[in-house]
Amino acid sequence: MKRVLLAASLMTASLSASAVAPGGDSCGWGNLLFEGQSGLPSHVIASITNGTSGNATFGMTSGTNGCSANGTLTYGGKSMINMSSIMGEFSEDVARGHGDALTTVAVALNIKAEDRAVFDSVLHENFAVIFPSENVTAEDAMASVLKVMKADARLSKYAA
Amino acid sequence: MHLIRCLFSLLLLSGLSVANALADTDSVNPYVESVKHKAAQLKLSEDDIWQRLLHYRQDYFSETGVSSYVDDKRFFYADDGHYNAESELQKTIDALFIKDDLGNEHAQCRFVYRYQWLSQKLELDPKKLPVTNCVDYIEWREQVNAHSVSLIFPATALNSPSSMFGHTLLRFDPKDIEGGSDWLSYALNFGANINNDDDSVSFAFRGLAGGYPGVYNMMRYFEKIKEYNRMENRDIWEYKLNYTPEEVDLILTHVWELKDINFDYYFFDENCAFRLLELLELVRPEVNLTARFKLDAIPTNTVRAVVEEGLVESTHFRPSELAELHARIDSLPKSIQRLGKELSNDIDVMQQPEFKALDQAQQGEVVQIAYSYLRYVQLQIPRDDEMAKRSYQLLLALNKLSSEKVVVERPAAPETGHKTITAGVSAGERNDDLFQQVNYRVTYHDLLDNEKGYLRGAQIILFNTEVRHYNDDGLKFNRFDLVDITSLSKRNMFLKPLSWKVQVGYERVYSRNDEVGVLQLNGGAGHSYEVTKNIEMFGLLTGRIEHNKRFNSILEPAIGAEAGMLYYSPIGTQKLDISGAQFLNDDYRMRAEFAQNINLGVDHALRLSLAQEWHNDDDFFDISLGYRYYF
Repeated sequence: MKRVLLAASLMTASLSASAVAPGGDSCGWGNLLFEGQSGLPSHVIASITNGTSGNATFGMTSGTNGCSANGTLTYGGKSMINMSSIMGEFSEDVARGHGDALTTVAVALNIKAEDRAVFDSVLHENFAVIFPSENVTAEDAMASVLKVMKADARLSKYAA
Repeated sequence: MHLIRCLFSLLLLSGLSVANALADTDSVNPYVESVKHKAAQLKLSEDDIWQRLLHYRQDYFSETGVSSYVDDKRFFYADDGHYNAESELQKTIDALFIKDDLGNEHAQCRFVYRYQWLSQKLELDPKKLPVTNCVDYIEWREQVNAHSVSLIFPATALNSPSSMFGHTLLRFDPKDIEGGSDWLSYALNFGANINNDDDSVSFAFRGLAGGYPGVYNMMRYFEKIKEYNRMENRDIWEYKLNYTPEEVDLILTHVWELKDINFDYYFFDENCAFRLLELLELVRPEVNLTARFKLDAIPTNTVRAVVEEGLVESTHFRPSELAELHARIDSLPKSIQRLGKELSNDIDVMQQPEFKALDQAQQGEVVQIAYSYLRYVQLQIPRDDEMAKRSYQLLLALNKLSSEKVVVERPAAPETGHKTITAGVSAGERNDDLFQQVNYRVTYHDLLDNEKGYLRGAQIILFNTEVRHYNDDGLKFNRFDLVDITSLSKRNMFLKPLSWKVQVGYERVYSRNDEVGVLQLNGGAGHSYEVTKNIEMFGLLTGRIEHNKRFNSILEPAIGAEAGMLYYSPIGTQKLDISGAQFLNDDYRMRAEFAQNINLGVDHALRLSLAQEWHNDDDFFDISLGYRYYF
């Protein structure tokens, strides 16, 4: 049985000089989602050479977007994805109640196919709880997701 | 960068320890010697698989006639492994038997494909091999957990010359992808490892001339979706390949061998697309991929090759966020579009009677458009607290109203379009002088070419050559375009992109009573609008610098304007265009042209052109009809 943990990540240091977190070292949702991409020029340049800049990885880490990796989803201690890197897409999907980011989080939380619809609708109904303001951090949003899941009969087993 | 340097020195250290360990094996192990002897007898180093594993290619400057694409000492055990297959094989066998506890750096862990292949070919006795513990490799393979592989093609984007020819990568999916999420799959990318501090000129130069190390990297696929679909407004095409889980397994075994290994990176040939073809060929030697791309590997052509070799099982289109926004905008009447635009600026629009009069589904669409539009705007500007707040409020509203997933009409897949090299013959008349012409274009698409599989409004031409024979005046080198790029992106109530063009090359022009060859650079910027679904109009302000021996100055500047209309008619694209340039020295040129491409098939076309030119002292009429072949 895989357990879901919220753990501080191994990778707290930013490897990318371009992505300076505007809100300090704990990048909130607002800071990421509603951030202008200060790194855009270097990003565009990277694509000229289909390049990778310094933060190339080989699949062993989750990447941090220049923020401390609060809200990393992990399986048995292995980092899975860094929530803050898909918070924009995730929040929109939760607001609507459907979408790829929502499915991704469901998969990361190991939610079985038959419970996905419940997961989608429970999160959808609790949008304002999970995202209480534009400045919520990825860590707090993820904690709220688990809290909301625990309160639901079908989903509580995944949030144990 | 600091971390990269640290990693590098660590690798150097581990390289040294391997070398030391190799020195220790001087005490001859009879079993190892017998294995090496057997390998030599079997001529394993001449085996196709071994040659592919070491990335050998023909090289006339090498004493063995081959050399490896890999430019990294850490990839070889033998000093001459870069070009000597036999010596690399022998040293690799030595390395497999090293008894020292090298952990993850042991040859068995580091070069897993080589190890497995040699074990099988030489029937190595597991009891005589040192026991290793490849923790990193095992962990990585568990994490990647792949069952199938897809070739991913992020297409060209308008307004983004850096995306000129597209890009390719591979995606490795787990078994239960249908019920899961491909966002979590791993994407394998080959790219230049660039330095963030370099400016764009040195990027372009080093990308072409070499100087960047090319490396493979792997990341979650959603990072790539974000990069292309969101940041760069590029559609993504996904080609699921019919490779078996066993073949996928073998590919990954070799991918691990390439971890942190440097290749030279070049835009045209040794690029992202070419390196991926090598991987696909490694486990299917019968397919013919890399041999097709001796000089250049344009991603669309590599996709075409993969399709032609019958490797594709199914195709999936993932539209960019911008394409989705366009589709949403187009699906609503103008009055509702305007409401969405206003809402993006002012959240109180939701209290207006006009908004309240809409039904719930329409309200949801209006809110969604306003939100998606803000998301697009936020890409290009620094963080704005007020806008962040508004975005959040829109999401709160969306949460109560909801909206449907937007459907973007799937265009023809890139590989179904015309091929990228063009040759043509034509005949015509310039004033009363008859001419015949041949033309050749290395790559890749102009505004009039068959639009199937290409982006409307995007023209990218490199190395276009025209040679003309006039009945009265003999053979003339008529034009050579080094680069000729046009990007016409339509504007609407929400999106205000700039249209632009840039062209540099040689051309014969009429100037002061004679036709002369000039070198010129010209460019322009302006706006484009979609009039109906198939008609686009554009206007540009232009500038030109010309080197013309009939002028007094070496470089003569001109300013001008161009206006045109494109009609994507059922038989082919039509263009009506009028342009003028006024030189600083009082010369002027004006030209009006009607051109029609008649699509005879994907790779065949007729091109008709009628043009009138006006100069200070003369007028010209020019008409031509030609046949063009794409291959």
